[in-house]
Amino acid sequence: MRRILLSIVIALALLAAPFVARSDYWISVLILAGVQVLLASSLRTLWLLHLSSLGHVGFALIGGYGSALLALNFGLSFWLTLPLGGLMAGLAALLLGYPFMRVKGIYFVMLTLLTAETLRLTMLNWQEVTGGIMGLLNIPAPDGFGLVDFGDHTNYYFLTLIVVAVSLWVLYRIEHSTLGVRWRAIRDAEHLAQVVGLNSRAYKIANFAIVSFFAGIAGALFAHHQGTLSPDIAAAFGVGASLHLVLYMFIGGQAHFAGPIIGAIVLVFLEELARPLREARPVVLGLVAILVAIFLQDGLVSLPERLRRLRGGRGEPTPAEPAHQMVEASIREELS
Amino acid sequence: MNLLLLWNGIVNGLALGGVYILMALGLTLVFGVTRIMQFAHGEIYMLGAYIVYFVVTAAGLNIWVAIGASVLLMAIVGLGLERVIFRPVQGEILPPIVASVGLTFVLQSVALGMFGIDEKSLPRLASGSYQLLGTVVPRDRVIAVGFALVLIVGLFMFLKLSKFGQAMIGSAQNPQGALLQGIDPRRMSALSMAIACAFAAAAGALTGSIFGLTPYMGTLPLVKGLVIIVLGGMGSLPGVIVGGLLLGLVDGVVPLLADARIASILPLLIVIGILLVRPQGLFGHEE
Repeated sequence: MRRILLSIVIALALLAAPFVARSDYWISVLILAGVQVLLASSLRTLWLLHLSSLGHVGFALIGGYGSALLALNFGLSFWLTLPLGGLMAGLAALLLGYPFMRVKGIYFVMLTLLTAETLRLTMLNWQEVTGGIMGLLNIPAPDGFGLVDFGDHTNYYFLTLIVVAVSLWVLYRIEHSTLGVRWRAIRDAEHLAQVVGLNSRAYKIANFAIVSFFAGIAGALFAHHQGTLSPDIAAAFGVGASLHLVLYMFIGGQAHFAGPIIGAIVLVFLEELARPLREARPVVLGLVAILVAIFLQDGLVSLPERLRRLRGGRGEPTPAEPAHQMVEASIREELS
Repeated sequence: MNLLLLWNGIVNGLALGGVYILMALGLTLVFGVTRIMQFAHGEIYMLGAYIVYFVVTAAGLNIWVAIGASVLLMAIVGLGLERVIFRPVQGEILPPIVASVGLTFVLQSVALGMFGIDEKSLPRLASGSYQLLGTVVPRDRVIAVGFALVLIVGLFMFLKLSKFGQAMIGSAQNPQGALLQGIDPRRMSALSMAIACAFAAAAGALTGSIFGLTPYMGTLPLVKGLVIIVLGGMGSLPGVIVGGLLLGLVDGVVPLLADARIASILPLLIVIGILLVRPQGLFGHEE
């Protein structure tokens, strides 16, 4: 009952948001928040394998540039270039996946960071096609239906809302399907998973391709909203943007599907409110990140539970710890 | 292809490599002992350079005294950071990444607020130049590389010959085993942080005296340092030396041989290629 009520409230809030925001500026913030939600959520799906990427924006870049170039050079409609942008990003990940999935942990973090930088520099240097540092200009807005014009920010907001909502639904369904269960099995015990016949590398590559597809979709949404794309390091596709995504995911709470959604929305707006600080603006996100990393490692989603426990009420029972963790913890206690 | 130009590129590359190695040694030391990837290391480097700037301009002291003060001060800052931020987040992959990235944002903002965005410059370490093997090398670079070399050799001697150094290596190789020998891992992680921050401050001061200071100066050496330790293999000290020299050479020579557009991408592709062939880096062990 409470869940249904909550869903209704959220749905109403999302529908009312552009009319509350009114100014184009704030509606634009809402659209960008939607893009970040999709990026952070898909990044979390990769985290189901305990792989963290600092190159997620690289695939958003492929989707964004892919979709924009198809629209600009071949006059294709947005309704075609959006999925094509996603597919290009997914295909790139599929091709890279085979060699990349041998690489683990912190090496994978660095590998993805370098890959995204390589892609960005390629866009910067491939002037004939991408316009170099000037970037792409006049990327068309989606074709309208009759009276609906997607050059209008409110309409584009609803378009973003629908695309992001559908994407999140798909990600959620996948996570709770057999595929999602197998991903987690591979994460927890790769060798065991292999022993029962799972081709762990194929499953990892599939994951990488799927999350990159959605990153590409997010990139395309971003491109056709902005109307311009730039490969500048400080812009949308620099290392900083990838770092932001990891922070959104973690601060929201990476263990829970809602985590990155909440994290992205809260932090995008927090950063907007911190605009008066000008260049010193990142200090806000930085402080939040440090505090959450130290005191609230399960993220903002765990906050209500935490508060309830602090007030002395009985929280929901915590799930039992996996046996190996308990053994490890007891050994550690003994040692110290 | 002008052979002299190539030779020049090699010398410059090796000089840059020396500074990168200072950064990478700190990163790999911290990672080895604490399993933490210190993304704020570039900001320690930046702050180290700014402290030198203030000691020189405000107190009017000699630059070498200022470098000494900065190194000492940043070592203490390192101890503080280890205690307050890094010790509580140890253990998992994500919390240390998030905390150190957050620290990066905070320190950059603080530097911007306090020092402004304008570039500052330090007095040069020395003026004039040497004739070295047929090419002209500015004297301050030679001194910077010499100083870096002294620090690197000093660290290796500390690690190999002293009891503390051996304890640190033991703690990095096998924390539980080291604990059973009475080595406190917390003390070791504090020590590694202090050394790393001191080295970063020295690196910042050395490059700062050659290229000038800005609040964003730490990003490039951080990325270079990360690339070196990944290339060489996490936690491997010889890997750092080889990786640093390799990266310095690639940075120095590739722009001379290739078109500028390719030159910006080629080093990245080389590292990606090495990682794909050897996922644990050149000298790393498989996890």
